[in-house]
Amino acid sequence: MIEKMRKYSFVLHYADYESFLSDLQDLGLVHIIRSTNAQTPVQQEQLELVGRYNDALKLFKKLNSQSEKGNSGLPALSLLKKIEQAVHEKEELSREDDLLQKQIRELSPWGYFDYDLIPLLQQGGVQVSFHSCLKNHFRPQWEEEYSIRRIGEQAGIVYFVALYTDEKPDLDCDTFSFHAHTLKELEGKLTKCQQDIADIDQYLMDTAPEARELFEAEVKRILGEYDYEDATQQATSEVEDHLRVLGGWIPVGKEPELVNYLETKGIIHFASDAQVEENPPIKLKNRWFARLFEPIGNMYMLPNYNEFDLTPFFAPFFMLFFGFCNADMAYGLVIIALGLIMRFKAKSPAAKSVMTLVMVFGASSILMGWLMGSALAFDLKETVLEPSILIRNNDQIFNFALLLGVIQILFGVAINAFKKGRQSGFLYTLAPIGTFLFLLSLSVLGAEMLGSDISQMKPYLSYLMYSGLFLLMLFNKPKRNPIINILSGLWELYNVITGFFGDILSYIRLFALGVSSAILGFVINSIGSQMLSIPIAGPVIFVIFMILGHSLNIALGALSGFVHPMRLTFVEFFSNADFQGPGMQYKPFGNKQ
Amino acid sequence: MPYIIAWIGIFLMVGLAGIGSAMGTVMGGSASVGALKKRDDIFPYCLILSAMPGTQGLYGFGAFFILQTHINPAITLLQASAIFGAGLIMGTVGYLSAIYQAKIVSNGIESMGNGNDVFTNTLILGVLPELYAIIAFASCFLIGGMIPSLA
Repeated sequence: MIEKMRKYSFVLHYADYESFLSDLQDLGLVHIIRSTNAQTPVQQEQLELVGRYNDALKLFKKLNSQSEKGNSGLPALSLLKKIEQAVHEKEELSREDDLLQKQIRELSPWGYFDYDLIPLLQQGGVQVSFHSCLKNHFRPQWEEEYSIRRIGEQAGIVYFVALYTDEKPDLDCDTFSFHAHTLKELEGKLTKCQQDIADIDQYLMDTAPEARELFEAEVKRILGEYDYEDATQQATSEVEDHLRVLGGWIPVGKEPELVNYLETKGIIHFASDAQVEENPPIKLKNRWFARLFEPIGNMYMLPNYNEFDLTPFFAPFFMLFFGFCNADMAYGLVIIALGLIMRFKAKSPAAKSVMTLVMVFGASSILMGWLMGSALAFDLKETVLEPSILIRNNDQIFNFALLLGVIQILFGVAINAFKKGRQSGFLYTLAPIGTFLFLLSLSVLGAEMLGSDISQMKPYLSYLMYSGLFLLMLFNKPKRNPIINILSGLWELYNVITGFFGDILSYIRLFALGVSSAILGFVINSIGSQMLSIPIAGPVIFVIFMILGHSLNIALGALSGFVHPMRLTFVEFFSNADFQGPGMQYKPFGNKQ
Repeated sequence: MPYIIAWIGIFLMVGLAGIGSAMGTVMGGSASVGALKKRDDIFPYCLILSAMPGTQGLYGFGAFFILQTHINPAITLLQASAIFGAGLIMGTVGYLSAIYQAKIVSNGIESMGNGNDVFTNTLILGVLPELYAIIAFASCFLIGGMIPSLA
């Protein structure tokens, strides 16, 4: 459900405004009504600084340092500058490292030699030139015609030296010019460069635990100051800038704490119930099971203030749909075990909640696997569980997927009818009720086509359908001319019929995904069992193959089992429940939340 | 001859759907590599989106599994034609839906690389073209139910 909100307006003398904001920040209850989105230069600087801290935190996350926390004694900003300097130096050293390695690669074919020998030879009248060419371009007659010495050969390239006294030999090959530094010097530089990089890495590793803690606290502090700076901009000035008027929202449940503060401080304020047109922020309040599914609903959008929170209504369906796509008792157990381990390792309450949801999905897989008689893709129909297996073949799985679809769509229409009644009055529930009755009768007729016996209810079906049509045609827009209503009702009827069939077809995906997953599991078992016949290593290969194969199948099934029910929820169910959004999230100003 | 026609149908069913999925996942993967150069924190989202066009190949294989019991040297021309038709449906729809699904997810991944928070939207929109591959798979299942009566 959506928690009720109260709107507050605070009237303050300009001199008291900043201390009031500090108190409000400490209380952490009020969602401030924004009057401007402009950023001050201070806020821009704060964001820039937060960006720098976050870059450093990202780097520490990559480093994953296990060093003990040190104590440099430096304030956060100085430490940040030092770390940025170290990172900058490392980047420069890495570039130098690349360059040195390139130069060493170029020089290494020539080996180590004393550069001073070249001028000595020149003084003696002997000139030296260094050459290289592809091995198949090297002509053996060069060695006969000129004084040529092969130095070496690397990667199909021949390196050689030509010694001459008069004219330089005319060779069709590349001429090499040496760098200012010898190979030995370059190798020395490279070693030093790599040592410097290693020192910086070590420094970062050693500093990471302390810096991470400092920076996280600093980011939190700066963002608090940012919020405060932002809040100072949101009040409107009145009475020649002598007064500040600030508006805010607070959930009804938290109101006494605020009222107590306001009365203690004697702050002038006005309060009223939230009105839909004022677009109050949304705070969802659900019991533990529905609360697990809130992140899924939030992935789409929050409802408007006067809407129903559909989370408790889609939660059981979502759970069943996941189980349908992964209907296997063993897979369910694996998913629960994974969820349990990850929940144990998770640090934040949000991550723990997500892992609990994973375990709920696992339980659903066990339930559906039981109903369909599958464990590790083995058929359980010939085991003791046989009597409890209700869905026994592909035809029944197909029909069950459609049945779940019909139930969810009718449930959505029923919610819409109830919602319209609460929002606009009884007259407005009539058209959704008509849609419900009409779709219900169509569904029963559809069940007959799929082989169900509806003989007992068939005589009453026409009453259901006609009464549904009557309500839909006459009350699609109450208080309007009935003739116009009938005409627009025809369009409504067309939309209802085509939409319903389109929506129902969409639920076939549950069948497709469930069957695909089962088939893949069965094939893994078949191939695995053939491996058992391999002498000696057979059982080991079998176990490895089964673990890898079924792990892959579970991963694929989990992905599909999450994505497709999400579509069924957001597209089919939400549209039939006439969901209206997006609502604005309740974000209290302060340090408390 | 009917036996060969049936196997051509299976080739279309598994081959085209599989090729579509392979191409689709490559498109998603390539877009991910580009986006990861800009934002290295979105890899899990890229992985999920890139894997989405992979299911069509699975449907093709699943359809083959459902229809394989009907394929034998004594198959009639009508039965073989049904399998051929099923293969044509699953193959073409699977191939095209995988490619076009990959276009949606690739654009989503690229947009995420540019700093936009569009993961959920891409997920929902990306599932839209897959419905038709699912319908093709369901059609193969229904065709499989009709084949014995064509003997």
